[in-house]
Amino acid sequence: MTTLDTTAATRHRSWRGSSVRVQLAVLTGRSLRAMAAEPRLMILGMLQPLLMLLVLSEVFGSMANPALFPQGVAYVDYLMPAILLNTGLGAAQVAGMGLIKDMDNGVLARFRSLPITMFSVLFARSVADLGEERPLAAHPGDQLGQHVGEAAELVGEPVPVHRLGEPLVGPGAVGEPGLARGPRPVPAAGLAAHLRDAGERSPRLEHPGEVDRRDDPVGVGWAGRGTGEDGDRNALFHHATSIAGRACPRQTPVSTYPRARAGLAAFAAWSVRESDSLRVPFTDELPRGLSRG
Amino acid sequence: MGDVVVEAVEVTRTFGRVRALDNVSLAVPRGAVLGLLGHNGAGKTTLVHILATLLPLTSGAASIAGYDVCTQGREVRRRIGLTGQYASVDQQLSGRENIRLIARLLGASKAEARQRTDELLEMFDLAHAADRTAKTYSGGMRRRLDLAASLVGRPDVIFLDEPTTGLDPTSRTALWEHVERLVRDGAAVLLTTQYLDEADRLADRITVLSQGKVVGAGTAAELKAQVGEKALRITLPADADLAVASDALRRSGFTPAADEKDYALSVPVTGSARLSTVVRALDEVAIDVVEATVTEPTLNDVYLNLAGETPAAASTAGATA
Repeated sequence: MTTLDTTAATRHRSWRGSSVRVQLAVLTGRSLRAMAAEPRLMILGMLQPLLMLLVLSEVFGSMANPALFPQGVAYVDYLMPAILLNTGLGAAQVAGMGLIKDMDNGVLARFRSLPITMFSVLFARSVADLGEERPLAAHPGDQLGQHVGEAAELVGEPVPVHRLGEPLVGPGAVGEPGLARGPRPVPAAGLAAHLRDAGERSPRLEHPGEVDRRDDPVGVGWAGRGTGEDGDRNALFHHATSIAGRACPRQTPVSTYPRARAGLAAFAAWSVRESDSLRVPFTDELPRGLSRG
Repeated sequence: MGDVVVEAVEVTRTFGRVRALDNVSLAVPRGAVLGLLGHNGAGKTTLVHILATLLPLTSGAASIAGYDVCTQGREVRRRIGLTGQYASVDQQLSGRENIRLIARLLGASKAEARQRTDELLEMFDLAHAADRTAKTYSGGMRRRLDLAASLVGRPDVIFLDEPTTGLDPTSRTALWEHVERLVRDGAAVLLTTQYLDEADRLADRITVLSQGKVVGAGTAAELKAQVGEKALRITLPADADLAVASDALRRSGFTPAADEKDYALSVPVTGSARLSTVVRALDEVAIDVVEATVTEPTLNDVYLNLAGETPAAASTAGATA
């Protein structure tokens, strides 16, 4: 029971508030966790648009009068955008209701009494509810090794598998033997530290500079958009989030992280670290055709 | 009394035409508890919300550890812990996840957050239920979790907004003990409550709010002295002679007031030593005592005395706020 003594009171001064990215990650994780506690809702949310589409096109579709439609346009051409819109609005509604619930039970007041920006609270809700719409977008599974390999390439040096686990050989091992590049499982232990070290050594990511918000207000387009360093950074971000098993990063603003001092390599490392708690299925099992060398 | 960490100077807050707070001033030094006493709608929560930067004030000034609540909100929020009127924990997360969430948001690393979480769960006797969702917690556990969540960052100032409302007596006492420990460790506590006994037990000084105004301030003893003293109410058997009993008590130096209807006597007393004197005095004239109760001044009495109004009137007026 010495935790509240006066030395402790001075020690907490080292907690100088969290960065926006941690706020976003932690708060998004909170909403996702709540969602995981109620998987039925998620399944319903995914099935609902499909059922709507099915019912409206196949059951009630015959009630629409095709004679009034322009040439070559079918009822489903009207229906599909409407379903998409409806699904989007549904997600917005869920986010809004979640927020109201937070307001009612005082959780929002607690967040507001913390030294964090309110933007994080609102944004994290939206991110989480995007995740609900496409929960499988970034499940690593068989592409995990590829993400790791490409991320490693981006931070400037390959990830030798022996640093992660054992070197692998076989027909699936692309590139130099012993490099994690092909689709292969990678054990999580050591990966985070390696990516972080590599990122700190990398001349390409040492000074990440700042992404201009005006150029890319919501950070859309890590794949293809942006050239040079920006493209690298976006791609690395994509790999990092994919590794971490997060929701699809398309709508996550890259520009939110410009001031991360150690650059995005650190972010990649952090994502991998986070993934431990998200229970990404890292496995020791080898794909067919590969053996431990 | 040490340096002042919570200070409000002539704080006024209006909602439309309602003056929820009217020129309220108070100060809490380090290591002290200020009890904010008042009925529903008196403005207690509004004041706490202003000091915790959740609400802007209309006029006046307020500061936490020297930082202005209006202009230096982030600095203020780093130093406070807020425990709301209803336990503000995320019911869908487990106790452990709730605490870790706050620690991470305050800037703790994962390892630090884990360590601090374990400490707090242990301290508040929640370790056994740490991995259950807060939904399944009892009211007392939820309140303890809420208090633990506000202590994660080791705040200098803790706001307890009616922390024991709706708790059973055991949980209530346990929570009081936690608060007392916090104060011993140097935190300043602003406690709002509707219960005089709670303020009495915990608070060094008490400020009484009524309809947004400070109507009384002082130590518990000072307030009670203003309100009235303890009285011993003695119910006698139906065949007893009230006059004889009164005379016996008067001879022993008391000033009893007789209640003919209930065969009862009301005797103002000041200490436990005199209770026995009362019983002995009655014993000498061979009168049995059916029932004896000590009545203390209540919040109603405080209101009647300080605000010059009935609590009923105060709460009706407050309900419009």
